[in-house]
Amino acid sequence: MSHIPHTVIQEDADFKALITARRAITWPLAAVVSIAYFAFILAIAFDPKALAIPVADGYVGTNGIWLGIGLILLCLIVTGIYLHKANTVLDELTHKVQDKFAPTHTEDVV
Amino acid sequence: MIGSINLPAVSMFLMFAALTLIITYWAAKNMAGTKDFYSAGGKITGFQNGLAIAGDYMSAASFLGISGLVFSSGFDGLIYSIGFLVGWPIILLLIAEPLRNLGRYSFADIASFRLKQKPIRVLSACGSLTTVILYLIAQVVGSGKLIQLLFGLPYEVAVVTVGTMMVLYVTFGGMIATTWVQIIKAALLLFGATLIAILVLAQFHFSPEALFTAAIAKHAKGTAIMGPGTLIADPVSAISLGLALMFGTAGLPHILMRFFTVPDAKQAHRSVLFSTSFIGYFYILTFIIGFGAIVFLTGNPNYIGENGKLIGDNDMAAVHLSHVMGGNILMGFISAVAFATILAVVSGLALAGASAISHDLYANVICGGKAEEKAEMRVSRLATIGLGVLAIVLGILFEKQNVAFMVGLAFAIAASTNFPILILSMYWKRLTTRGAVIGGAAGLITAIVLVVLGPVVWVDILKNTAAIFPYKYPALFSMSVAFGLIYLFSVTDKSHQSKEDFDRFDVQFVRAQTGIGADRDTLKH
Repeated sequence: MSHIPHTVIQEDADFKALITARRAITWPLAAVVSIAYFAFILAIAFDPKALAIPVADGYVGTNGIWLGIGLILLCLIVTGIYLHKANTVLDELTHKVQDKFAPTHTEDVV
Repeated sequence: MIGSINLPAVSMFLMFAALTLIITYWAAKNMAGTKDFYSAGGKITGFQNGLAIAGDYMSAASFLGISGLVFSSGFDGLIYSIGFLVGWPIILLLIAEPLRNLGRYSFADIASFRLKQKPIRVLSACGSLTTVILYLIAQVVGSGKLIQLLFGLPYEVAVVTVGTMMVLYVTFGGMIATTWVQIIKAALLLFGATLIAILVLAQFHFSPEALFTAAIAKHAKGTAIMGPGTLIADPVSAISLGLALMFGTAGLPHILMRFFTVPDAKQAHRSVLFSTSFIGYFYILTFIIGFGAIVFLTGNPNYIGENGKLIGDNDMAAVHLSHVMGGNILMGFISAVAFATILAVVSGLALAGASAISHDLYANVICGGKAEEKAEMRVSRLATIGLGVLAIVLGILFEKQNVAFMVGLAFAIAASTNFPILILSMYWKRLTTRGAVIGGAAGLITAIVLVVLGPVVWVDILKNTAAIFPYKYPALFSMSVAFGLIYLFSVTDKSHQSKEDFDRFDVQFVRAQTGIGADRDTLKH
């Protein structure tokens, strides 16, 4: 087993590109889910009546119900977006870094 | 019908039991060591693991409990479903890959990657065991009552059966058997719930509007079921419950453990894609089932007792509805699946608890990481038997108690102890051992004390007149205490240990992000 100093990898351009690309996708998506969810929770807390209003005249389905189902779908969409990014960009960069520093899969970082 | 021996249910359950015991026998023959026992040898695919995670999550409590909550209060059931789901994208985005890259068998592996082994392992094991035992009691008590109703068995017999089956699966089949039991049950449950939901929707020409209209016409609360009701009384409770549901998921040891059963980080994030999809889909089904139950059970003398309540209480809504939709056969199938669900979920919990004892406490704390594999296996099996006995004894002791609060407390502890340590050890360089231990322990204690002093335990169970702590959900306070003290005791930490904690961060970061040095397995592509 060979040991690669972590500083060498940290200075690598592909590694830096991987970190930048991953941060650019994970934190904004995490923020979208959290903000949407807490907006929903705060609406329940502070303005429950607004959620009990039907989405449009002549309908019985309310804002709250459709927003809630929308939130469930948002979780699925966010998951899909991240997976798409991971498959197209992040995995490729990860493999580049792995192949460069750990071609035999036995290397370790020290 | 309810409370007597139900033949279709019993025969279908016996088929499930036979199949899972054959799997356990096969798993036991292939069990080579701790790696197979804790993580199924890292040979589970992303799709299989996604189903297994969804299975862990679709417990009897969430299937029967949420459809029952929708039946009794409509919209409020949706609040729980959403809260349980939103944790998943967070796990995917921030936790799944580094978790797989840094750990082997338990989430304490990650927290102790750069922090001092012993104190962190002890704390993580306390967090894990408390969460697991609370969750286990809630499941076992719920299961005893359910089986009593569905199969006509005495409560004690039901609890002993559940405890014994759980010990059999885990001690002989380890993670391999536990995963396959969970996969089979998840598939059966998704099939059964889909069938009921389709049969309900078919009555309304697949129009949700028509279903809502019929439900409003039937329900005593009328249009009130379409908006927020009494579940959340004030803003503090709303935020507190929201926090516990969202971040608790990311701290549940039996869920985190599943990420070590896949070969690499890529399969770990594939797992989350599948699990999130299955769970999201499942919660939409429970919502339809709850509304269907309002329409078809309200005022129906076959299912409503003389007290005007649903026979067997609201949790039985989904089961009764299956009887309306598909007679004894469908009800038998759903009952058998509910039983299977309980077994699969308690097995996952027992395995997570056993690994906290054998891998964290025995192998790494007591033996300093130098335990013999055979000895560690023996300890984990003994721990499983111990947890089985504990579950049976506590299950019988708590028969008459309201245990629903225990799941909420388990989530609050997971969000206030396990989650902060895990996320900060991965992402916050300044975290030190001292900060993690003091803050994590304080989060654990705060969550427990506030629940004991709150309305559910202090007033409803201990029969005091007024609660000392006014809110039902402690997470807002216990998470603030945990994060606050972790921050305070980390930034002021000038010890020699803190320098080591700090220096190891970069190594950990590189490995977490790239998987280099991680315990990778190869999977047939």
